Amino acid sequence: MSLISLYRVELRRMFLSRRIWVGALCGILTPLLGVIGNETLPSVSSRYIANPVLTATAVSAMLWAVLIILEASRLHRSGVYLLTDAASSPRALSAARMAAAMTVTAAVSILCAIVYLPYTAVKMEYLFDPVFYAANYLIFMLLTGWISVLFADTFYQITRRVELSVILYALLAYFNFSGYAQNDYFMRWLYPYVIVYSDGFQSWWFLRIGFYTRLMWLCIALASWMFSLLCVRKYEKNAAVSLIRGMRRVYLPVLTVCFAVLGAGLWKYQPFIDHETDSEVNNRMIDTPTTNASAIRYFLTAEPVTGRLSGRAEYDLKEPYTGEDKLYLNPGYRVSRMSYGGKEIAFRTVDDDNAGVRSTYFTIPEKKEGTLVIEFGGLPQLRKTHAPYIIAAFIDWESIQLGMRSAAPMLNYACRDGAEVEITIPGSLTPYLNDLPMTEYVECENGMKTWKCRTQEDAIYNFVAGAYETDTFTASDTNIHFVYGKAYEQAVRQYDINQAVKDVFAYCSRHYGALGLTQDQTMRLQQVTAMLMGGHAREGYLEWFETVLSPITLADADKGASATEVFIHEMIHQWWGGYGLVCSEEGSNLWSEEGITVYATYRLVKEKYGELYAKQYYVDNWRKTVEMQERNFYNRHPEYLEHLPEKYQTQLSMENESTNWYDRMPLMILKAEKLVGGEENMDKIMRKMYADRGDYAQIGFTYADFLDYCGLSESDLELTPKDYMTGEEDAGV
Amino acid sequence: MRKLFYYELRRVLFRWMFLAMLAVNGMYAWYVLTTDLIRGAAYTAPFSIWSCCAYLGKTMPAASITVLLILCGYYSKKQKQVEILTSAAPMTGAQHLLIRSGVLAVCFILVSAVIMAVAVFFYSRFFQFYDYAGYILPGLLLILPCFVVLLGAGHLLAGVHQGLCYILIGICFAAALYAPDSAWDLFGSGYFAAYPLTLAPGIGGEPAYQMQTEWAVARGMYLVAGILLLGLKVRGTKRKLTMAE
Repeated sequence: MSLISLYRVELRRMFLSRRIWVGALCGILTPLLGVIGNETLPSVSSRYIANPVLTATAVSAMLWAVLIILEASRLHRSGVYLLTDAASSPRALSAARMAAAMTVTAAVSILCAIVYLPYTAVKMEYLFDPVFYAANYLIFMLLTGWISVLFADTFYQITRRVELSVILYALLAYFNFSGYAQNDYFMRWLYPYVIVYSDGFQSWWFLRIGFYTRLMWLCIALASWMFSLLCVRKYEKNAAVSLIRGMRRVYLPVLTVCFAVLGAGLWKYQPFIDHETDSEVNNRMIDTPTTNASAIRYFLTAEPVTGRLSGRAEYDLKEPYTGEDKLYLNPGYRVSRMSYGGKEIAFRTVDDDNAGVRSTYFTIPEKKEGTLVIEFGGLPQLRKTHAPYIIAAFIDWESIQLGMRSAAPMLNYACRDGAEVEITIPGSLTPYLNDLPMTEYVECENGMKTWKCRTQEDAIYNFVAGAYETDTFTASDTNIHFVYGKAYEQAVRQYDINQAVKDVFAYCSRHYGALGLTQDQTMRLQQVTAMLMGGHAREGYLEWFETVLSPITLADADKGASATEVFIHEMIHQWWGGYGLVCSEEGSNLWSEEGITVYATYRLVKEKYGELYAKQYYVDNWRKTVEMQERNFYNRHPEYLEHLPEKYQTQLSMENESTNWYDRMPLMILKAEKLVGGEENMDKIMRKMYADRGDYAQIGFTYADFLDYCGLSESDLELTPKDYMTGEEDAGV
Repeated sequence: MRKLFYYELRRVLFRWMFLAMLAVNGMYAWYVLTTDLIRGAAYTAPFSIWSCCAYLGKTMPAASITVLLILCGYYSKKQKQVEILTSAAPMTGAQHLLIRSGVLAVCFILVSAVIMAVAVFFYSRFFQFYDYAGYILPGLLLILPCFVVLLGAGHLLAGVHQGLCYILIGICFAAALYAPDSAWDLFGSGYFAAYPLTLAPGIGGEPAYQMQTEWAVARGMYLVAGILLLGLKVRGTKRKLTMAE
């Protein structure tokens, strides 16, 4: 029988099998598991697409693995293999069975997508995108199902034992869930790693890397399956003898090696995350002398289909540095050409990925006036250390985010006049360059637009583009430009978000004083994609988390406040932070502007939502976290720390720092509030602190300064068990 | 009877699958110790009774799966075919069942011994800790009911259909991934990671070990349930035999 005939027979048999029908039914039910357990996810797309699809992916893949093992063992259990082997080649039969199993898996995945489509569309309302939804099922569920059945069949064909195959498969599955594969995009073959999906600024980054990793594992699974075909028993011989005999079919070992090499190559040369060697290096500076440029121009083109950026940077130099110079670029980019004064110059790129950059060395041949032209392009790569938590550089149809070194080369060149920037992006997006809106554009072909502007800075520090809407209003004498995603327009109107912004400004101005903005009292509040997992603030500019406006956040009175409070927290940083009172102390892992900002957020929330709410979500949380810190064995016995692996030592140190900033210090300030005579007195002190901010702009406001303003000593604010033990109600604080 | 016991024991112990599972259990135990337990359960010392019980709770699913896999083997088609011959021996089905349960108990003890030996090595190497007197009772209360209840349920389910025993293995696997923090947590890893947090820290900064009544009752109930299930199976075997006669 030919392979196609065998495939038809196998497929028909599978569709007639009761076991397969039960499996298919269970497979269709698996997304429900993800729907049930997704209460804490912040974005709608994560809750109604990512979670059900990923849960269904893992559970149904395991289900199919068990079914394929049982199907593969069917002939041996019944002893019919003696007859079937005589009628057709066992290898051909195995290949036909695998093809049929893959067809069934694909059918169930597609059926799942169809069955849950109405539910997902209703739940996601105006944020639903059918293409994105379908792509999730096809990329994650379908491909992982194939990988899973290939591995399962491999184990059975090698061992020919059901229980051993199940154990081996379980071990492989466990590897995916173990600490080794945690937060790793490439090792998680069964349960793909997705941090969060953005609702308003949709990005295909996770689907891109998801497809790539599925492809990579598919190659590895195919290689192992091809190898297992070699072990298919012939003439009642064992696996080893069958393997030797199987080698005679040259195409099988050749295909095994080809797929293995392809899989390994895809893993080693993946283009999404850089190959950082030292995660401790956080910043790299160029040590060559600063060269003055009379003009700097950047010409960039974002390609949303491939997610690549291509660009050209031009530097007009009068007296160039003629020694060996270097430039930093995102490790995903390659410099394709460099010229000076119209002549090509040599350059070499070194694979020294660190701090999110790669070096390229070049030498300008002669010290005469000319223009240095650098042409570059590629897929922006994420920094290895940050990739599991933040997606900081990507190009998509609906959103673009490019950080410092992923937008243009970084050189030690300075230009007083700033730089001219031209960037071509999809026409539906509104761009912001170095935190300022771009205003001039020219329409291009294919629905793209080329935006032009001159920046005051000579480099591109931040480039963001998305489908944005801007509301302008006044809050406590400050002009507010409230920038949010078009997808959230309805939510902004429905929940009167603009009023919430006014409330925060009114509260802080009343309690601490008016915001001292230097640039015509204007403040831009800009929503950023959830994939950034946070935002930053600087004078007159503040980024805020996308999920603050998520329908889930806004509709849930209990949990909703927390994300909104992140927004409030970030806004309060305008008073207590880099552009308000600078709170810093060298060498201190306790005192920072976070403590005072968290305390101020608590006070605002207390006034807005009531004492009970503030106690439950703030004071009780601080106490609990500090209590856990005090309880931690390694904090009580630091002499044992050396036994901990370095990874856990770093983790503990980071946990301690976070607890000190966000929990211990606010609790100490709360204690100070009691000691100085209550909230009113504390407000007076904080008002004075804010008024005196100019005196501390350079040197920083230290913890000792804070104690001086409060008239307290260090020992007064030291926390005792009574202050933080939950259950010891208001003993100390 | 003793001869048959030794025969059955030898048959299991010298199978490479058991030896492989023993090695897997040992490696898994080391993995749990070095990646998870080294941080201590519920912020207590890694060598506290709480942590040690949490460790046993984490390794018990693997040990139970090993035993259940051997048990599944007793109910395979091949085994049933052989039973026509073994039933000719002057021994009742119930006695045969108890002999096999004894063999499974020995296997479980061996696997547990490996898990504990790995822990003793770990504690002595990293923390120079050797005083285990207080660990025996909570440890026994933790592992004994696990074994008895799974043995009873395994025999009963596999007797109905071998596939049901594999489902039980799947449940053990799931329990290892999602351990509840209640006193009724069969394997105990979730319970021992959560319960100490509800207790006030004692001298030295961590709660002294105390056996919660609810937990002790739960362990007792599991033990009784396991014995009852086993009893039910023995009775079922006897009835089957009577009906055959």
